[in-house]
Amino acid sequence: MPRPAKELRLRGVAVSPGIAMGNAYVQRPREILAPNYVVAPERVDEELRRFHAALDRAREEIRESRMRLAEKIGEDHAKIFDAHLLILEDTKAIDDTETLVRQDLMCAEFAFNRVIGRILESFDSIGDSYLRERRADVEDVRRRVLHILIGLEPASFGALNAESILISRELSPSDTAMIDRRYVLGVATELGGRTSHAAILARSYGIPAVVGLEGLCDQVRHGDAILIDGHAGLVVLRPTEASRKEYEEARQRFHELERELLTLKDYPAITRDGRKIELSANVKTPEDSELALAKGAKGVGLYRTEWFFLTRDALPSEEEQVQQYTQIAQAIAPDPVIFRALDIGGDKFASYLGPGKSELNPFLGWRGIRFLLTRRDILRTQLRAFLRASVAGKVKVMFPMITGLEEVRATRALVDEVRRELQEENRPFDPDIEVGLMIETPAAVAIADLLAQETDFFSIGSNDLVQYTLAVDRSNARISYLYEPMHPSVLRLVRNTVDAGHAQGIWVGMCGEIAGDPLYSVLLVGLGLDELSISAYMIPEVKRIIRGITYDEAKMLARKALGLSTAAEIRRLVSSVMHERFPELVAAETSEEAP
Amino acid sequence: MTQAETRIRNALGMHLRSAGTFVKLASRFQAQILVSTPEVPPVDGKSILGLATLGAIQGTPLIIRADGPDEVEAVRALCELVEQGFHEEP
Repeated sequence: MPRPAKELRLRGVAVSPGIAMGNAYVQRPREILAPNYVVAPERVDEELRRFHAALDRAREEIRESRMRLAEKIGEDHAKIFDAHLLILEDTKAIDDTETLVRQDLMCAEFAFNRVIGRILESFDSIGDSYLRERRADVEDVRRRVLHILIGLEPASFGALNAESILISRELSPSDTAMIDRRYVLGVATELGGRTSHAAILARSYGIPAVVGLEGLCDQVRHGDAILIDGHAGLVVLRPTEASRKEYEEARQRFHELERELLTLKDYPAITRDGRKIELSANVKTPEDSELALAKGAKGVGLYRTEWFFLTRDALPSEEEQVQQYTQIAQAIAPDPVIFRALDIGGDKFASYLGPGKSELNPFLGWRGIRFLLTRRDILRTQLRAFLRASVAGKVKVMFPMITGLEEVRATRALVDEVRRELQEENRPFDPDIEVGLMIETPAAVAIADLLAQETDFFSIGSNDLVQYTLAVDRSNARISYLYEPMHPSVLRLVRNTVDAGHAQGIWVGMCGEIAGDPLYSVLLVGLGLDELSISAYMIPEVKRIIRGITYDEAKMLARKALGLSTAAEIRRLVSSVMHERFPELVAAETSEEAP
Repeated sequence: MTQAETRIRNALGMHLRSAGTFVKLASRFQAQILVSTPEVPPVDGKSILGLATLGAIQGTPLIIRADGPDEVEAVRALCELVEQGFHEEP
């Protein structure tokens, strides 16, 4: 087929930012034709032995790929190969294959291919794109086993030995394990989405990637010049001189932006007119603290202690907890760490702890502070551990799911009791430790003025506040569209909480998804929040936005937003302002909405 | 036979790795285990491929059925695993 030699632009989904220009390395997987021959009845046993030997060999290869990928992009991503190993042990698939060999005298290749082929077909009818994309893993295992049975060399990227843009229909985990990082400038694939292996690889390598480019492999030849724009989700084949120039400039702008983000690490999150925001990280294990510090977090605004409880089979002892909390307090000092007391129930359970799935309405049930106040033994131990760890750094404590003043008074009484105990035992602790409340229920907002008189700070848990305010279960697909953080009711509750806190002279922060979404940064600053606790990864971007605005313009945006009557209007306002002010940062958001 | 209904809690749904975790636990029991959703007929609870093709996203009801000497414990343990989001990050 003759190909046009002129420039061609393809639009896909941007999954990893950046701009790259280079020559195409096209990986075309050979379509494997499984041979189809009849096995003589007396050779069936031998054929089955051959099949099992191939499975054994595949297992060895997978273990090796697992090791390589763990070295390249981390243990976490390499775990997908554990699933590949389980596919090889899938008794149903093995039994079905054996039956076809035994009864229909099919050769192993043909039988195995047919069994896996049927499974691949059922993946195609899955509605959810993430789950459907897992098909790629099954396909990967199918190819591997067929390669071995037929005696083909495993797919390799041996010819990828110069800096190139990698073009493929779809990258399998095995492909990903084989790729030499030094030679890949960018990735473009025909299939796949945000969670495909190509996307994950590209993000962890920090190279641009665009996926979902229909017709890509038919249009591009080995060695063609290619441009990838990982912000707009655009691929330019055989770019003209004008396009090259345009993109060279864009690439430089992007690099400047990256450099700028990196240099911001040691600067505070402060608006141009001097309003300082504490930008801290959400953390759940001491190991996370390294990342938080590397990204320039000013402390930990939410330490989820439940993670420690949920990843074990029995209650951790006081000493174990002291050790864990001390470790994180030390790592983050002199900045503060806010420990959230065990937030169990809702969607988090551990069999040894009690609250359980047997509840009809777990989110309205025995969770958070309600659980802690009936299991005072657990709360007391945890408070003792928090206080004992407070000598290692700056420790603060907060309680989840508050609805009434009685809960606040009961917990404060317990804190005082624990202080006295520790004093008697001659154990040192920070006497000025701040004790705060999470504002997650409309009830807490309604009495925020009363709560503020008896606490040191507020932290708004936006996820739960949205869920309880709008009475929507996000996991229920039929109504999840109602989950809307930009609902006017939510904005009013946030504003009321901030006002009530400030009137009483205490600070008000927010942890939860919207706090970490750069799109909302200006609005949240404008609503008067003093602290935002977010995913460490988002800190540089959010910080850059805060440093680029004035508190006055943020307040103006918040005022305008509060004057609107529907979520759609608020969303429109916020995105248009943000797109105008920060075209580079919110570019990714718009391109993701593109088909 | 013992049967119970639970619901997928983790954000990503029953993908390959979570199906793998499920299979590992299910294989510890002697009982035969079948898993279905309101839309998809039962698949073998000890088959990672079967489970992954259920396409069970967050919020999908999951019916777990076990038949065998340890069927009660099996259903209880597997329901709990699903409720806990397969021990993945919350």
